[in-house]
Amino acid sequence: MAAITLWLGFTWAPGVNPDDWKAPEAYRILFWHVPAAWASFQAFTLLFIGSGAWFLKRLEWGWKLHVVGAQLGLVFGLCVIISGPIWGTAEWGTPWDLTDVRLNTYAILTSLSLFLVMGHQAQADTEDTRDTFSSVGLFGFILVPITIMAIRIWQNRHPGPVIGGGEGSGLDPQILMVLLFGLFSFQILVAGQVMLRYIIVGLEDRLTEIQGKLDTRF
Amino acid sequence: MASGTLFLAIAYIAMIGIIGGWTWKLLSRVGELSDRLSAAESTLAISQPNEEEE
Repeated sequence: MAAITLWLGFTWAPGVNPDDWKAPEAYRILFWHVPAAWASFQAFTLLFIGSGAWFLKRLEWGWKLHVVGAQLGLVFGLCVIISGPIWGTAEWGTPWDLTDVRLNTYAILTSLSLFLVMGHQAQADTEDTRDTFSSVGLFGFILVPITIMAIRIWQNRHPGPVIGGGEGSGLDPQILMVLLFGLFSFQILVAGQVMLRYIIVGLEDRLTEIQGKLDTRF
Repeated sequence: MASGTLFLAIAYIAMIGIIGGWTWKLLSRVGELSDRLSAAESTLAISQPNEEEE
């Protein structure tokens, strides 16, 4: 479905005047850039819920959700961090603006998920390390609402909200249709990635169980 | 126009590469774990009759 979004983005919305975006053709990056950003916010929400469940209740599923949230946050965060500056170069003439709050808080958020993913791989899986990473996941989540609201409060370089942004905002119906389809398809993509990750966790648990039985036998 | 299309192509190739690479990694891991699990289950099944014989 994400591929269909891409195809629609290239073929179905050509009636829109791209000159309005000051970056002919490059505006079509938004058909994956925005859904990827929303998907990353969902992943950071999973990270927050998982971190809380582990830190406060010591729930095993909470830790697994924390790990999945960090990984998906990194995957979709990288999509946004890489496509954004490419779009910025085409539209603004510069890939990054250090004075733009939205860009900087999002970069920190993605760096945080990178830190967590690398930490999970590098550190021994103990309760202490889980507590440390969970606390980072809990407190780091504050950057999500700040990042979402940044374009409403301190809008500088990054465009304002395209949906629910009040008067003066909004998109051409054709662009909006493709974008909404993209958002829906990325929801399915996130759900599929989470399910796939849980299948892996289930297989790992089963393998550990059988290896334990074999160890007692031989 | 050409540079806009070039930027567009680079951005989408990068995003497809990231999502595709990650999905490929997950699917490879599922395949690897399934193979190991089958092998372990076979070993476990073989060891059970031996124990009964003993």
